[in-house]
Amino acid sequence: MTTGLLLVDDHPLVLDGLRAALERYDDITIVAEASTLASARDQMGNPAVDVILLDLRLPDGSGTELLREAQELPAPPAIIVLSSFMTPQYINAVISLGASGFLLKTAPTDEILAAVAVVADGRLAFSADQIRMSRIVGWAPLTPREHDIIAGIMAGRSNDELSADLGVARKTVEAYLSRLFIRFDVATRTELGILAEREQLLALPVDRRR
Amino acid sequence: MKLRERGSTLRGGKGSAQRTAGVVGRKVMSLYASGIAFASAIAGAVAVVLALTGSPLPGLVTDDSGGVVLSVDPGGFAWRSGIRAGQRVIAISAVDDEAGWSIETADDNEQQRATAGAAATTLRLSAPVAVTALVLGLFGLVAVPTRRRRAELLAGLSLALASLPFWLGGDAILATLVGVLGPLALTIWALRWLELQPPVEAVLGTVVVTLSIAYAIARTQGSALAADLEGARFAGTLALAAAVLMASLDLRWERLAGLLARLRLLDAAVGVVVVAAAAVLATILATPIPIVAMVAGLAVLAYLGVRAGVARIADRVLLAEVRDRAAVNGAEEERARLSRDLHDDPLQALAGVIHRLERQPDTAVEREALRTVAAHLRDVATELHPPVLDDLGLVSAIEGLRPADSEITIDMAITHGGYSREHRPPPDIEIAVFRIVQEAIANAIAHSGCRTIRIEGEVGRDHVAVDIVDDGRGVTDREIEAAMRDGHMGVASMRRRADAIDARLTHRGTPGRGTTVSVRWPP
Repeated sequence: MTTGLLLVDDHPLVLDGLRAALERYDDITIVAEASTLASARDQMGNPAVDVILLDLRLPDGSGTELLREAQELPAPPAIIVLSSFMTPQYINAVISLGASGFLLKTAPTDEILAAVAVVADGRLAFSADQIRMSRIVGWAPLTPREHDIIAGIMAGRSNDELSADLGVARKTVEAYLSRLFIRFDVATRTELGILAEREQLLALPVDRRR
Repeated sequence: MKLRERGSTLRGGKGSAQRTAGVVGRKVMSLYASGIAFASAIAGAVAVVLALTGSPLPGLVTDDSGGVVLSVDPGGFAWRSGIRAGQRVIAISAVDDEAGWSIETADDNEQQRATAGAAATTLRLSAPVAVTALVLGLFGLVAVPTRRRRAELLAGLSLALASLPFWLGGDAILATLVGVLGPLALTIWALRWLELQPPVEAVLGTVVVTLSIAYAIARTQGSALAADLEGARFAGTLALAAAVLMASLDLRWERLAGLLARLRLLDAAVGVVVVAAAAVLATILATPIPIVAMVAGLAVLAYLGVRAGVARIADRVLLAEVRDRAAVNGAEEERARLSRDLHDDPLQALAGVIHRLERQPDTAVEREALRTVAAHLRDVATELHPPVLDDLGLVSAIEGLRPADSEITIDMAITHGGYSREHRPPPDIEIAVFRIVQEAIANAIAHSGCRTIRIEGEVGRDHVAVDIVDDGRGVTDREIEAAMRDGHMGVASMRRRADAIDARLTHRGTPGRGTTVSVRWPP
């Protein structure tokens, strides 16, 4: 089975380069390309799209909007952000917005391929360095959903119960948990619960972002 | 001039005798506040009646036959028309509706003519000043129980204004009383509520009291000197009112200088209107120059107080587009544009080329070299203008200000509306606030000796509120002024950036208890 890709970038040279680098692999199909936020929006619901390679700067808006909107789809595609810049704030922002991976645009094709394979499998593709960098900004506000999930874990709810409570797929709950594990440097639900209790995580400001 | 608030603490007060004196002093000052506020409200009310009824006294005495001028009071309108004692009376015309009665006199060289109608018109023109005086006096009265500092200030300003209609009215006793009370009240306010240097206090007190006594004697005795002292009184009162008003509005010289350096179209328009109005008053309506100066001065001061608000409204209504281009700090805009150009073209092209090279065998070395070039370009673009500010906004950019290798803990808690443009403030606001926070953190690290800096606040599409709080030794305004004289422009540059976006910047340092810098947009 091949992985369907949607490439989103407004620069023709970047799109050409990515296509040239990726199209020769049999397990990857480039389903569509988009150079604006609007056309990316139109295509992200396409069931053939498994993974989106997303630029943050688009002529008609920010890639962060697509990240946010994708989370509301019934079966959201995994999104890898390809950015020109990589600092802890970028990593923190894309993790909290639900991205599954983050790479520089100049990253070697091998790294892009490996990340695509990992996220297509439902896992996260952040490197150890990125995870370490993202913790520098651990004070950042929680999203409302992160807040709900931490509250659920502290109340001893299982993943299935959380999925029912919040009205989202079990897989979505798991993805959120993975990101929270990364962010707070824990390996299990129990550890996250203990940390949340000790560090008063629920007292962190909650982002009003809609 | 250095003017700082002292608050309501009494000086001294260590021994019990001094404490008793302090209690008595407080009672006296409380009585003073009520008294001066009442006096100003009454003076304002009388001034309004005077100005509206408009029957000024000529201040002129002739002999019984009406042939020779025996004496002229230097406060009456006859004096202002050049009539002096000893002149022969040529004619006293009857009352008519147009000009009222008039008197004509002559000495050896020339003739003079004083008209009651013209004097009455001038007196009526002072009605707006009288009404302002009354309103200020009433506000002062209301403020007495809770805001004594403000009450005394309002009373002083009210009396200073009320003296104008009284002077035009020509009654020697009342005009002298009100004319002296105004500057005295303003001086007492300055001595009581501003932290002036002791020599300045002594000189100010001595000069005002001496001049007041001299003026009162000259005026009530009808001495010719009173006419000259009147000019000095006017100019002095005006200067005193302006200085005191500036101190109370916290309009410092550095800010005024900053304002002057950034004059805008709106300021020019207001300036033209004020000058034109003054010209009309002075020439067509023949208003005396002191009145014109006083009204114009008040208008300018009032405008400075509300300038930011007026500018914002005017911009929204009239100049939205012009302002979008003009208000952004030019240099900052240029840096942002360069940074974006670097990103949009060379960096993207490099990324594309690197991926294309992946298809060519044996290009690993070349690809690595190009990645190094890309990294350099990224650094230059970031140095010019933080890209995170464009991509993720102010809050993420502030996050990035945490110095990597510092001993100082920086806690941040800023809530925000989101990362996309429609949830963020306009770009010129973002970059200005970012630079202010950057400067504040740099100042705290360099000068305060703090261990922790806390950055907190809230950022949304139409508002920004950020506080930078350190636990250092507390850098006072006095130190900042000294530092600025030595050429350290940190705080001045923060103020300039805040002014450029019409935001409010406040800086509070309490010795031993840290410093807080706050930015508020809108102010």
